[in-house]
Amino acid sequence: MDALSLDEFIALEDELSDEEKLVRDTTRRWVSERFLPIVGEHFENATFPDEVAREVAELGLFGGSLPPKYGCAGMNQVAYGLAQQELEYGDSGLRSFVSVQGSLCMFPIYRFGSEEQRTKYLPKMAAGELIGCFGLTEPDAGSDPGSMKTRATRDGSDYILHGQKMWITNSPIADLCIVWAKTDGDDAKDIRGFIVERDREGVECPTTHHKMSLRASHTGEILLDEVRVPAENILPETKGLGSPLACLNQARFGIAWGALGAARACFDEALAYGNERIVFGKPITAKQLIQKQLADSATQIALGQWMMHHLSRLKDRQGGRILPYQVSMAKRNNVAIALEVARTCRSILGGNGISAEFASIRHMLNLESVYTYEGTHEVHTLIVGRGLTGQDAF
Amino acid sequence: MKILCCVKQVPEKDARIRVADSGDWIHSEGLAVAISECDRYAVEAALRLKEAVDGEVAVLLVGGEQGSKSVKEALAMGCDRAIHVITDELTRSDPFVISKVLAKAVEDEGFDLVLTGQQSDDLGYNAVGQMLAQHLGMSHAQIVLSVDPVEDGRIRVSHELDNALIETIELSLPAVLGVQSGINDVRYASLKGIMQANSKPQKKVTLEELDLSAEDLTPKLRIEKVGFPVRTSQAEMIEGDAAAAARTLVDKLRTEAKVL
Repeated sequence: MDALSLDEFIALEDELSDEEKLVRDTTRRWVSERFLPIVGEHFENATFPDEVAREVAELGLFGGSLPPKYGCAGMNQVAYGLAQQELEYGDSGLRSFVSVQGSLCMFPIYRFGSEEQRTKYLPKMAAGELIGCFGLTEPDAGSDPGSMKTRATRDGSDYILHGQKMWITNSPIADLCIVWAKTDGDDAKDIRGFIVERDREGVECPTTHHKMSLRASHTGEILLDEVRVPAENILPETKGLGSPLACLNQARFGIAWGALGAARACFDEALAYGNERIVFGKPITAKQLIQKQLADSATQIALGQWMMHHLSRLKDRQGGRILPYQVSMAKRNNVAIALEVARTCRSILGGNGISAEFASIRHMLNLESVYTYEGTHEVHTLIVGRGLTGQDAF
Repeated sequence: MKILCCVKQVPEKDARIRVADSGDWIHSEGLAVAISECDRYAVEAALRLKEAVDGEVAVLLVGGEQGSKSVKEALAMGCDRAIHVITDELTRSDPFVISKVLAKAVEDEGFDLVLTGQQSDDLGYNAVGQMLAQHLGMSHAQIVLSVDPVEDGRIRVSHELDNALIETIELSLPAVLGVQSGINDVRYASLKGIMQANSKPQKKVTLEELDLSAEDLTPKLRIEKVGFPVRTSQAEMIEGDAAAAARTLVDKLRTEAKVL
């Protein structure tokens, strides 16, 4: 019989509006024509194609779900999610680049900033003229950001920031950093957000080298040595740990979508390869073991798609909000299945699966980071567990 | 300059195509669709002309409700307004009927220039543009590689002839041009443009409202059967060292394939 496409299994095409399909197709076309031809070499060389920032901005991908009055596309959550999925079909590094700029830098300015800060920064960030990064994680504060050591001490009309942030996507190329620091005391409720321009005295953003994952992505630190920033750089509506966590929930929602794109890239590659690879006189896709691997992978991708469409429609209906527990469930599940699909597809490619000529091992390596960042898999397990039992097991 | 761009919606180029049970067409339910490749280049050429000489670009599409996706994409790319002839009846219609419908939809609009793709990705008749020019009484050129405005209501057009010859001619307006693929770098619709496409004028007319005659709506050809080419194993491995293999290959291309 004629084979069905995975899209026919998932059967969501007729559920999408024209605008949602066009966002998906346009992003897909751009990734296919402009990014996929170059990403393999960048991954091998541990570089990021900085020149794509302008094109990403022209497409309108930065802060895509924020309002048009700030120069953004004003997409709904389904369109936004589909775009993240297509970006990560290209590479997790590309989706991370866009996700950090939008969800972790533009979103906090939009959500917690003053109108003056919004009009000052958001249009330039949407246009890619300013690139941002998000400084929360510290050497001794990863899954427990409330224990951060970075301090912001009031000094007249200024704040003096001192501390160290690490594992910061985009920091080596950032023009501004959203830095989270404790102000008055040592409690998580004392955490506030600051806009710290890169060119302030005492700011350094060294690159983190020797990564075996997300190699086509800028990763670095933010070193703050008695950095003086005016009080107007504080994000006025930030109040405690809940503020950076609200930003992370935005980003995690995009990750839950994006990981499905990486999984899909691996699945497409493995299926195409398997149809051509003849072993013992037949394509390996005619073998039971390979069919089981493909069936398992396709099922997980389809389940992830259905979950994200439902959650996205729910988010749109509820004014952009869903439960953080739902976001954790989605991020936890979709990244884990994407990693499993990537490993499975790499094995279907046989010896070729370890070559950078193919995409699966690149996605597989990237997803090891995605599994751990923006809330580790284990932390999301505990968040879902807390939601189910009402008991904190951290 | 008042420019019209005719676009057709076809299955996505990487869509999994399957023959329908009827055998005379493909399964189209749930199939991802897109603007036909050549038509994209025509849209880009139209937008560049508008940017060079000022004016407007309208997009015209004949098809079912799902055609609105392609209409909005053209608007998001920069077209100013759209005309959508809504009908589910003409999906497989022949160039004669389609060109009659296109002509009727715009006969009172007074366009200076009408651009079409050279041919569509699905049926590929390469005939609609020629017939449209005939119906509208306009000048015409096919396989167009470039369009430049010149004085006195004329345009300079380069287009392909046989044997890879390229001819440059001047045409009087109004004219219909069939645009070849690959002639320009087609812009991407911006996501902001996509979300705001609905704010641009979109005129929707039904086939009935165009009031075409029964003769105009009678196809001149009918598709009896569609299918995939039969796979054959005719590959031949040429043995020997590189120089000898190259000589053998050239000889075969000359004497057997007759392509040299």
